[in-house]
Amino acid sequence: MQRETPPAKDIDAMSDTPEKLKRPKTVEEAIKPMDRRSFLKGAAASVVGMSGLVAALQPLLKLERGEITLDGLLQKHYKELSPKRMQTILRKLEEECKERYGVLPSIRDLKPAEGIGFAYALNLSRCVGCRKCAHACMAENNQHRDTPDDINMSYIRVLELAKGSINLETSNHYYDPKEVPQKDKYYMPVQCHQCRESPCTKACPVEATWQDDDGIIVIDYNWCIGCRYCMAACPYDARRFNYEKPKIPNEAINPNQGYLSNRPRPKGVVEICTFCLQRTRAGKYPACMEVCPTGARVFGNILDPDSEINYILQNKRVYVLKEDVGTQPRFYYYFD
Amino acid sequence: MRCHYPKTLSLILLFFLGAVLGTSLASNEDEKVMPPSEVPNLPVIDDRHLDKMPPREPVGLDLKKIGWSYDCMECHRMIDKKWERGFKLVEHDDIDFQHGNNRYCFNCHHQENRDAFVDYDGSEIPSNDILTLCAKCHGTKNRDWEAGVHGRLNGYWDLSKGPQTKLGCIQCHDPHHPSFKPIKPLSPPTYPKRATGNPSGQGH
Repeated sequence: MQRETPPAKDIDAMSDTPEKLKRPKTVEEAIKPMDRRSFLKGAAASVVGMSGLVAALQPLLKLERGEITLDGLLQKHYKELSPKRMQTILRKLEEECKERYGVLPSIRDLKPAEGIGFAYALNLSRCVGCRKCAHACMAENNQHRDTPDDINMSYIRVLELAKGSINLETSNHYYDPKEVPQKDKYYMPVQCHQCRESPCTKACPVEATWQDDDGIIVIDYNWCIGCRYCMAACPYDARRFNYEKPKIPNEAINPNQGYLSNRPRPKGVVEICTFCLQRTRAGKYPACMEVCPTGARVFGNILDPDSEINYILQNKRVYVLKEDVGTQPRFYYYFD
Repeated sequence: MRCHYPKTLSLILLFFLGAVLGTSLASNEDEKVMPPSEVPNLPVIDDRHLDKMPPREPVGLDLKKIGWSYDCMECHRMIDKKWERGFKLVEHDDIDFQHGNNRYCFNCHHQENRDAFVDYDGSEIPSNDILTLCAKCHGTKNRDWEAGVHGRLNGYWDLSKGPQTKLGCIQCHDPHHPSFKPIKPLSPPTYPKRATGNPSGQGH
């Protein structure tokens, strides 16, 4: 059966010929009132567009209200900042701290020195679980706290484990007996392990966290977007998130501050133990080590063959927490 | 009909962007390093916020704190030199003597001169040389202490930048009761209110 072909003039009528497009609109067509459906479509699109715009303009609104500064909004990545620019930022941050907490701090941007790789060792046979380290961490690092005793934001969690095995699943860091150590328990403080193969830095979508040359993992709080991917990636539960703008009593502010470490953080950023970078890069011991009543903590330069930390690695029975996940920590546990 | 709003919105956006970029460029041009604050760099890091008290300091050495000279022979020159375990202590009854198998005073104290300690061969160890005395038995601990991994170090790990202090044996350990006494732990983190289970960690 032969196919019927439509007449030629019908084809002309169906397709948009240039002649038809060029034809000027009639007055009725031009001012034809919108039908209901397309009006609603347009209105919905406008609402979506407007809300998107408002969201996009939030930083500008914050700018307007003085919650952030223009310089802060447009600040470059830490590694692209010139030393001169950095100084301007540091002075600005000092002023902000003075304004909010009434204490004029000294915020420094200490760079890693050559030939230094930090490492930490903790003696599990000595630790008594007194939590002085966790509290010293709070005193040093200007974390948020609701009450003076609140250590939820401390970078150190002291785990209480039953003697006989290292079973983290049955560990407890909320223990609060009358006295420690309990007879059948031992204690394992856990903090950032400054892993050489760090899952957290790999998870960060904006490169707001990275490992410096001396092995310290740092966060630029001005660059962090608060997505908390790093927290999910960390096998040691070492990272903390600022759900609100940190509340710190004025008298509890530590004025010795570092840009990448313990300066007061903004809301919505992740923070982490940096082995007290503001102290250790200036040559001092970390705060947790300074207060340990049993001397269970040893800190030093792993690249120095005569350092205390190397003595431990060479002479003691050393244990690496979750060695099987391949993070290669710079934090070692040992027994003697 | 095409909605005209997006065009308007993009215009607004462009305007804002232009304003922001303009100001940022302007601010970059006349970027000035602000003068350092009044306390720009603390020369010495202040550690007042850290409790670095050696463990035994607040409880032990009371006599020394009130000015006692520690001249033991003031009394002991009048007292019989020999003293056996089991003889009830009168003056030193505050001593809680639990040093393991080391049960005799004269294992450490010198029989003739109470201001000194005694070595294996009966010779005197000066009273300020506690380290040698303890090393008589605790050789491995002494070796670790010398290496800086037994006991606590304070101050600077980088000796080119500042001094380091090392606590001696009896600044932490009571020689008559060398094991640490249990202490009250500082406050724990709060158990999340909405979490199930219990903080003991036994099961979920």
